[in-house]
Amino acid sequence: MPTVRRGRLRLLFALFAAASLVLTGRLAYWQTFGRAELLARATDQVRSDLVVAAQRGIIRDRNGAILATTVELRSLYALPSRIPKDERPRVAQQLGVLLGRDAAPILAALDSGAEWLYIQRWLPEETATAIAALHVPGLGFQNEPKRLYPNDSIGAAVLGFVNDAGVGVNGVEGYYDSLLRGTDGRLVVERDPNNRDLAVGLREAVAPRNGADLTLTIDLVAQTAAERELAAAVKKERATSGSILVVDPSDGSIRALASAPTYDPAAVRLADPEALRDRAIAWPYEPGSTMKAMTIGAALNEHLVRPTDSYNDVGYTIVGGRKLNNALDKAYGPTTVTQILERSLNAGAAWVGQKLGAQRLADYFGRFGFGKPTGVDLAGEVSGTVRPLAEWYPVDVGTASFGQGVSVSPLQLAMAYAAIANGGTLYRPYVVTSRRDADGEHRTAPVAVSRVVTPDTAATVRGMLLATVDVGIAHNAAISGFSVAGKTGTAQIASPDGSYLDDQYVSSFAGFFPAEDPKYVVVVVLEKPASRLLGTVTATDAFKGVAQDILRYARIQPDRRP
Amino acid sequence: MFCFALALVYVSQTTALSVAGYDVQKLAAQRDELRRQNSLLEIQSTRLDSPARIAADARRLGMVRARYVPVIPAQPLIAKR
Repeated sequence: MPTVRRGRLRLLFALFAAASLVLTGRLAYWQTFGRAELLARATDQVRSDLVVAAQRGIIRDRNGAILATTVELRSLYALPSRIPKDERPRVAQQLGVLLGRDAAPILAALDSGAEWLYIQRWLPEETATAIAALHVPGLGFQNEPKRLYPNDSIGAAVLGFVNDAGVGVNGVEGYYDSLLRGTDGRLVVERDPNNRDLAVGLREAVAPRNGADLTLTIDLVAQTAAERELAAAVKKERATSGSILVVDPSDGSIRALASAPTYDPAAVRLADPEALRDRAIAWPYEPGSTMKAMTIGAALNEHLVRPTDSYNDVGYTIVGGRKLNNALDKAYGPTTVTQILERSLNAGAAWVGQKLGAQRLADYFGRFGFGKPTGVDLAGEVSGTVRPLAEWYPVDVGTASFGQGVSVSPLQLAMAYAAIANGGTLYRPYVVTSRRDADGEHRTAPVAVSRVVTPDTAATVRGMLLATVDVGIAHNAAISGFSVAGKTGTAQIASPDGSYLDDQYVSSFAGFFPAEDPKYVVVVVLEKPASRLLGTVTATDAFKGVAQDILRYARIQPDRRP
Repeated sequence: MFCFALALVYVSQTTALSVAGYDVQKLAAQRDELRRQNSLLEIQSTRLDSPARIAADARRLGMVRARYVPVIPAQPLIAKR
């Protein structure tokens, strides 16, 4: 029997003892100092920490029709390495047909060497279903939220849009972005190797707080009529831009707001950048003769003139050493204050303006809401311009009387006419009538900003505007069976150097109906109409188109014999 | 023996809980998909109800806007002017 020397045995024992000591030390290290690191590594393998996105709120019209909502749509992705190389041309071809795209870029993407890539995001449901039916290995779907606008471009200006980062821009989407967006939640959970949640184990959840749902004052039927008439007017006149507003004068709620050019809020990338500007609130323009109603209303309210007071119209007047002409330089002889509106006389408006004086005229412009934002709950509003009195030249009291040298937005003009229509109260316009969140429903209370003129003055101006449609310059706006009040406006456009452009105008019409008991104010504004001075005819046509639809839809009874 | 039985019951209950957890997940996914489909149907319904779409379809069918819509008042009309 072979013998082992004791020395060797001792050496072997010492080696084992040393190895055991090292292993024990290592084990002790991982169990004490290294424990946290090991635990973190193990936890990372099974735990997932996810952001649970809050659902963006739904926007509805006043009758509950959906105007904007967020839906999870399927986005198509590919794991190219799982698609056999010789199969890729066929797959690209099939996808090209179903997606309506050229197959070559799809094939190039599949051959790009990427591990994972989107083929197309936010697919229509039927397209996604058709692609799923191909059962191509390496193709998959991921649900992604997408803001949808089921009425396409209808109401785009009032709604605004949501950009790719999920942020609301312009309109209601921009103004109420934080309310609509809500607050994201969080879910921490342990998962098995197949990425399924484990029922037994760690689970921490903070529920998302979904965005508030908004109900607008907008009426989809009135909005559709406004968009239709605006598109037709802009097309007929080859106008650069335009806007139509419909307002309820009793509380300042906006029933329709259209702006041209327009865009599809679901496809903003394709939009003309100019289309993103809401002409109704972000377009200051010189209003022209529609302002004569405010000038005369101010003078009546100050008891400086009466409707029957008259002056001798010679076709022009001199103010501050400058000659201010009537349109086409026409002279009318003895003319009453009512006839100044009926005939839209610049000389007459300047005569009334001089009676008021610059101080009071500027003061009343401010009281009617010009020169400052209306405070409407839409993003991007401008204030328009009524220059400080210290900057007025002597002639300005004349020109401002008939709406030149001051700029307003179509919404400001609509609210001023609403004040005349409702008996003299200026309201703050608004588009959100209520919001619903986790705490319940919150309704918007109309805000009366100030009393501009007395009810008697407002009634007198209403009568004058009624006469302007019945027997005056705005006769084209008359609607059989209904009383209509309103005023046309044609204003020259100021150039950057301060002079006025030749043969380029803004044509408008501001009116309300039924004139005896006004329910709706409608303002139509067209920029640079091709028929120039006759652009107001198209504006009044658009007014009538909108008004007739609303009268039928709202079932307003005739107040006159047809 | 008792301890073994207890362990067996514990393991079987844990397994049943896990299986139930997977079922819950499957049902939650089905619920989410049905909600998604419902949202898509709501959108489709809204598109079909859109006044602009109805007007376009009416035009396609050859319909035209009424030139005059007579309204018969509920009470005798008194001319105000």
